Amino acid sequence: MSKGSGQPRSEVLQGTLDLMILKTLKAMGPLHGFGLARRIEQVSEHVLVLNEGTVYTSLLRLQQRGWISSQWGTSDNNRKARFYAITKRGLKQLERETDDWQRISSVIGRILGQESQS
Amino acid sequence: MNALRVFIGKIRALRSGGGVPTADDEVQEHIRLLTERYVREGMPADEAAQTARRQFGNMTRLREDWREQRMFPSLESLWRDLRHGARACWKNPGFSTAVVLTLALGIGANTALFSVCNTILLKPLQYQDPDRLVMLWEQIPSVDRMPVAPANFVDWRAQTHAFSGVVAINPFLAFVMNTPDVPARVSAAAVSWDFFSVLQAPLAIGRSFLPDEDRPGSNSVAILSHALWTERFGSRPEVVGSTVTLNDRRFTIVGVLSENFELVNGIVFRGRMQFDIWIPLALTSNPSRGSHPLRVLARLKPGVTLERAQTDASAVASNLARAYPEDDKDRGIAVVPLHDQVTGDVRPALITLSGAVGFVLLIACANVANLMLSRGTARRKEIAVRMAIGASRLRVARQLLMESAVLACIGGALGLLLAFAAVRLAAPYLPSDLARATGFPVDARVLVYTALISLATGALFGLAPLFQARRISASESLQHGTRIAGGSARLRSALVVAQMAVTMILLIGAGLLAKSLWTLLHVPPGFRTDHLVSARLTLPRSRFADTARVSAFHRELIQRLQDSPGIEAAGLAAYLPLSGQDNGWAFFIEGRPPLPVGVYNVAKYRPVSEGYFETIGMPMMAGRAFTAADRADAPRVVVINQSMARTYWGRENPVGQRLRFGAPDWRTIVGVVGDVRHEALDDDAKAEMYVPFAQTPQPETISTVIVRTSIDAAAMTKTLRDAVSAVDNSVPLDLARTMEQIVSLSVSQPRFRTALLVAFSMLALLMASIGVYGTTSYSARQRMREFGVYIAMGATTRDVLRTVLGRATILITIGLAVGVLASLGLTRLLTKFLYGVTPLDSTTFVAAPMFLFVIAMVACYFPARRATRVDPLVALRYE
Repeated sequence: MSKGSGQPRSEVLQGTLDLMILKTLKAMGPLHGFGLARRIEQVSEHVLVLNEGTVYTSLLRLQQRGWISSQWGTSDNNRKARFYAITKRGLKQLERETDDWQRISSVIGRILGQESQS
Repeated sequence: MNALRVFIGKIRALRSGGGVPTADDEVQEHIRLLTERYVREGMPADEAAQTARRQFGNMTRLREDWREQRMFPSLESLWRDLRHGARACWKNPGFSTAVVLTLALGIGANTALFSVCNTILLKPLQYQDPDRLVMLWEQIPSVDRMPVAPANFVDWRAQTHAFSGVVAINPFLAFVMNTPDVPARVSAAAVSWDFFSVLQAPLAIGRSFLPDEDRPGSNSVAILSHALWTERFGSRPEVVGSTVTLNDRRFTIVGVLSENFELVNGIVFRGRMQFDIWIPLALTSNPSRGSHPLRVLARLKPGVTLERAQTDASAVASNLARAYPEDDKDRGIAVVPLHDQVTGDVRPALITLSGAVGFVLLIACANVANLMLSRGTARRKEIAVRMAIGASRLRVARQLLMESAVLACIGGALGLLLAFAAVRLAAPYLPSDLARATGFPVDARVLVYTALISLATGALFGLAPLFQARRISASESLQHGTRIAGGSARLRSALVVAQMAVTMILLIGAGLLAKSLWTLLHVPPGFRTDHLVSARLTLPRSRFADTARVSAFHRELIQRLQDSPGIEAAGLAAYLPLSGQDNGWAFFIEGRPPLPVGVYNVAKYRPVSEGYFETIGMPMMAGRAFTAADRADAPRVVVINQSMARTYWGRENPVGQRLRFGAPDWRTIVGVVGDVRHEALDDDAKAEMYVPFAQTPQPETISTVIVRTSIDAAAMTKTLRDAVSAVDNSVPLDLARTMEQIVSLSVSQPRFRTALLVAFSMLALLMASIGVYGTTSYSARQRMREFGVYIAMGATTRDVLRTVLGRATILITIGLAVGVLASLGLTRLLTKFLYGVTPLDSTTFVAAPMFLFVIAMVACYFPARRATRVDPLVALRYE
C-alpha cells in the first residue's frame, strides 16, 4: 500500500459498502472479489480504508437478499474464481439506495455547511 | 419478504455444504493476488504477505461474521441471551417477583385443576381395552338408567349377539365375618363367574370362579380383595384353599384380586367402590323379574360398534316386552360406554371449572403483560441505545422474549409446586364420592400441560414490549423523557377493561353458586340434623332369619340405649335420609281399579323401628306412629308420608285405608308423617311408605341406629358399641357419624365446586386489583409533571384525585359492563348446578358488580392519593 499519500483516510461506513459494491457491479459488469476491491480502491483514490475481507461479508449478504448472483468461472490469469453480477432486483435496490443516499448526503451537507457558517 | 429470501438463502447455504470451504478458497486467492501485487511493487515476499493479510483484515472475526450470516442464530448466542435475560430479571427483583408470583398463581391453579381433570376425565380406566366395555341398564320412560332384574340379565346374556361377555354384579351384600375377637362387617359383591375375565382384570393369586360355582348350592367360594387379604390375612399366599366364615357359613377362598383392581365408581353406586369379598352371583333357575338389584357390564365383540350393540340390545328388549308385558312393557336397554358412565356426573362441573381457571390464567397473563409494558417503557432508552449501536431489532426482540421466557419458566416451576401443594391440601376435602377419587397424581401429562402454558404465556407477554421495541426508531434515542406512546396506553386500558370483565364473570358465577349452596344448606330437610348420632349395624343373616328376631334385637337395643346416660331418644331405620341408600316397591291400593298391564305405582320403602320418627324429629301429620305393639304377629300396618297421601288420596283421609306391596296381605295405613328430603337436599320428597321392622316382607338385617343425645357426639360411639355388644356381641357396628356429617357429605359435590369457583374468583379479584393498581400508579407517575403544574396553578387535592380516578372509573365501569353482559349469556351454563337460584339472579347481578367496583376503586385510590401529594417544585424539576 502506498503510505506516502498523506491524505486523511476514512473508515468505510457500514451499509455504504453494499451500495458501493452494487454500483461497481452495475458499472463494471461481473467481477470477482479481488477485482471489486481493486476497483473500489481505485475509484476512491485511496481515501477509504477497506478491510478487504468485509467485501466478502457484504457479498454474502447481498447474495442472500437476492441482489447479486454468483458463478464460478476462470480469471484473467486462468485460475478458478467466483464472479459476482448484479441482479434485476439488485438494480432496483441500487436505484432506491442511490436516491436515499443523495437525499441524506445533501441534507447532511447543508447542515454541516450551516454549522460552519455560524 | 426480505426475511423470507434471507431464510431461503440460508437454507441453500446449508444444502450446499455450508459453502465455507469455497469462500475460504476465494479468500486465499484474494490474499495471494494482493501479495503478488505488493511483490510486483517491489516489497520483499514476507512483508508483502503480511501487508496483504493486514489489508484483508481479521480473518477469524470475518469467519465468525460469515457463519452468523449463513447459519441460524447459533446456540451460543441464544445462551448469551438467556444469561443476559436471567441477569436482567435478577437486577429487578421487585418486578420479577411480581411477574413470577402472578404467573405461579395462575399456572398453579391451572395445573391443580388439570391434575384432577386428568385423573377423572382423561386417564383411561384401569382395565384391558376399557373402550370396549359398556354398561347395560334397563330403561323405562320415567327412568333413564335403572338397575337390572336378574331374569332380564339372564335373557340379555342369552339373546344378545353384540357382546363377547355379559356379566352382572349385585353390590348390596354385607356379611359378618366370624373372627376370634370382634365381629367384623365385610362388604361383599356377588358377581357372575366370568366377571373378572370380561373386565380382563387378572388376579394376584389363585383363580377366578368356575362356571359350576355360579349355581346355588355350589357357590361357597370367595375371592378376597387385596386390601382384606393384606389386613386380615397377613398377605399369606396359603390363604388360597383355606376357608373364611361369613354369616356362620364357610366359604373356600379361591383367589385374591390384584392390588390395583378398582371397581370404578358409577358401575355401582355413589361412594361404594370397595368390596372386601367377592362371591358368585349364583342366580336360581327361576330368577325374579320384578326386583332390580343388578348392575350389568358387557364387552363389545371385536368390530362391533356402539350403534350396532344398541340396535341388538333394543331388539332383545322388544322381544322381552312382548314375552313378559307385566314386567317388561316399555322397558328398553340403554348401552352406555363405561367411560361416560364413570365421568358423566362430574364432567360438566369440571369443564365449567376449567373454563373458570382458564380465565384466571388470562388475568394473570394480562397482569404480566401490563408489568412488562411498564418496564418496556422504562427501558425504551436502553433499547434505543442498543439499537443505535447496531443491535438488530430481531436481536433485541429475542432478548426481550428470553427475559419473559426466564420469568415464565420460573413462574411455571413455582406454579407446579403450588399445584402439588394445592392438590395435596385439597385432597381430604374432595367429595368422597367423586369418581375415581383415589388421589390425583400430578403426572407427566400435567407436566407437559404446565410447560405448554408457561411457554405460551411467556411468548404472549413477551410480545407486549416487542411491539414497543419495534416502534422505537433510532432518532428517538436522542430525545429525552418522551411520554408514553398513545398505542401503549390504549393497550394498557384494554388490558384493564379485559381483566375487570373476566373478573366480573367469575365473581358473578361464584356468587350464583354460593347463593345456591346457601339456599341448599337452608332447605328444611324435614328432620332435625342436630344432636343426632348414627351408626350402621350388620346382623348376620344366618341368625336373624325372620323379622321377629330382627325386631326383637332392635327393641332390646333401643331399650338399652334409652337407659344410657345422655341419650334422649333412640330408633333404627334401614335407609337413613341423605345417606345414599334407597329402595322402592310397587304397591296396590285396596278398592282401586287395576292399573294397565306393566304400569305400577311405586313408593319408597322405609323399614323403621318404633321411636324412629320421634328420634329424628319427623312430625306426625295424622294418625299414629309405630309402637311396640306392631309386632310380627300383629295386624300389618304402614305409615305413609305427606307426598304419598297427597298424590294418591288427595283430599281424602288415607288413615284407615289399606294397601299392599311385596307380600299378598293388606296393610292398614295408621298414620301420615311429614316429608323428608331423602335422596338429596335439592331433590323434592317422593312418596314413601314406612313399615315396622317386625312386619317387613323380608327380614332387614342391615340397619342404621340413630340416637338423639344431649352430650358430646364423639363419646356416643362407645356408648352405642357397648349397647350393641351387650345385646349380641356377634353384631358389628361401624360407620358412626353425626347427622350433621351426613348432611355435609351429601352436599360435598356442590360445596366442592362452589369452594373452587369462589377460590378462583378471589384469585382473579386479587390479581385484577393488582393490575388496576399497577396501571393507575404507573399512569399517575407518568403524569407527575402535569399534576405538578396543576397544583402549582392552584388545583386542589380533589381536582387531582378526580383527574386520576376519573379515567380509572371509566375503564373499570366499561370492564364491569362488559363482564355483566357476558355473564348474562354465560351463567346459563351454570343452570344445572344451581338450586333455588336462577342464572340471572338479580341480587347477584347487582351485588357482585358493586363489590368489584368498590374493590377496584380502593385499588385505584392509593396511587391517586399519592399523585395529590406531588410537590410541584420536585415534579417540575423532574427529568
